[in-house]
Amino acid sequence: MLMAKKSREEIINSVLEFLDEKPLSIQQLSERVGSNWMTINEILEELKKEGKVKEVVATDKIKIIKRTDYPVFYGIPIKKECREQTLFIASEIVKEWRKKNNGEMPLNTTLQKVTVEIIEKCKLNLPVLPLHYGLVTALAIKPEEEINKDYEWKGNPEKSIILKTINEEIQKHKNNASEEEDKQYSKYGLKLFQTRKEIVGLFKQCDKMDIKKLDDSLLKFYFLLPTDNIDVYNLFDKFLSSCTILFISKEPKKNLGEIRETFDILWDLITASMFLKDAKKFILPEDTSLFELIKSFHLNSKMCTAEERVSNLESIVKSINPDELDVPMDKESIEIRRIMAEGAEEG
Amino acid sequence: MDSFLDSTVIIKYFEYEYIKEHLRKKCFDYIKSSNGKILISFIIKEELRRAILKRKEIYDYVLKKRNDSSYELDYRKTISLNKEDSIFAKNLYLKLKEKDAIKLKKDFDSEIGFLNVSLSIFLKNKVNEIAIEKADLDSFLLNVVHEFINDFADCRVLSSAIQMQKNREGFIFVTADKHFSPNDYKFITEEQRLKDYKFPNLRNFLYED
Repeated sequence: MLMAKKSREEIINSVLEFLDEKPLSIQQLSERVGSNWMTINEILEELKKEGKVKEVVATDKIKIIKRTDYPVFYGIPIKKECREQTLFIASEIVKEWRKKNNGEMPLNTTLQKVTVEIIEKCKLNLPVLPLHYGLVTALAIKPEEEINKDYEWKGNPEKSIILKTINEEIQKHKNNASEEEDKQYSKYGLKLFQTRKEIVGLFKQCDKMDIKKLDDSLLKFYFLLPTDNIDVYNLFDKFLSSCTILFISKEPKKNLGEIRETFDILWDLITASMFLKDAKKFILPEDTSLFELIKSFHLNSKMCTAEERVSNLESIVKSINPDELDVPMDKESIEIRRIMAEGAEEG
Repeated sequence: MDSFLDSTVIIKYFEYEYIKEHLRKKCFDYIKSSNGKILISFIIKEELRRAILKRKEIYDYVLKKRNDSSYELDYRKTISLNKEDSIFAKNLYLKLKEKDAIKLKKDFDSEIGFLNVSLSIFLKNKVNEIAIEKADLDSFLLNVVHEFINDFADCRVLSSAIQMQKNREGFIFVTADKHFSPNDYKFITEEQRLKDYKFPNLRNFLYED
């Protein structure tokens, strides 16, 4: 039986519908929609120009496309049901928050923190993952976009329990991003995030900053760093080694700008790595390869940027005159070096 | 007279900055006051980097073990450590396990950083010539030397020094390595199969008063 040829509009609608489920490659879209690769590619280019879709992964070999309104961080494939449940909670929080606070909109951070609390308190099987400012949902939720949206609650427990929990929880929160972060870090023992905030605070003091405090905080941060992604861990170790040398040079504050920027780039890499590692358990088996592709694309590109910055710092270190270094000369430090030097001779 | 420096002398020259003792002072004074050219081979350059990396890998182990007492060192997974180094690393951990971890990390980093920076400056400012690529090592010479010296890295160092000596004014092979004792060195220089090779003069600070 002959099938009627789809109109261009039908193909466009079909592409957007499939992308509403999850990001897909051009090949996958072509198979699902039933149109050839060239047509799909052309349509995607058009949709890109209209701002309706964008690339999550773009390499010579493959392109993964997502809808611009696909709300998941890094564009990873989280199942629609999970997304809708999370959005239901977020939109109810926005409504309740505005009701209780004379129409004031909750900040992104506040909304994320309250949503995380509801997920935890109601023991929902929804992703709560570490990102730049602590634990968040898997979705980049914009409070202003959630005001007029109504999502249907299909999960357990009952909707009324979720709404009651939201009502109670909201009263415990403030529309102050920094306070909300501190509260969450302390509640969940997020020491790495606490230390990172401490470091950012020190950087903000610029020239008035106490270098020793910064050095100590960076060291503390290093000891809190997860070791499961050994490449990330080793790169931070290289960064820290360079910082240690710069801090004992004649002008310890000279390269603070470079150090700060490198630290921010490393933090982005560290949190992306943590987020993507924890997100894996929410990925459906059939989406594993798609997820791995997106994950390695993001991590590789972040890794390259971070490596370049760390290598810049290493070049600065190499230009320092060793005679100008203020190497720790206390009794204990010398003793350790002596043990090492003598041991090295034996080897 | 020109000097071909072994990595042990160069490392001790760096270490004199924080370990003020007799042998290191000799190495430091020798390099500081040397009037002739300072020569090294690419093998020496590699050995220097390896010596620093070795320390870094030992320190990394100590810190990892401090963080997680179940962590075990597998020297086969490291770049520069051998079985003896891994025993040393384990003993070092036992000696340092009660020390403040943050201070240890700072000490380790500052030492490794100091050595790395010192090496870069040394190669840039002190060394007049680096020669004999690893691939250009004379395999015949290397094999004969290996009959006298067990450690293959040391064989490569000495072979590169002997090769560099070819077609130039005699220079001094300066070392502080126990494997290059004056007696053993004499045996090598008298080896018949090596009669066509020109040998540098040996100066080993370990065997001087």
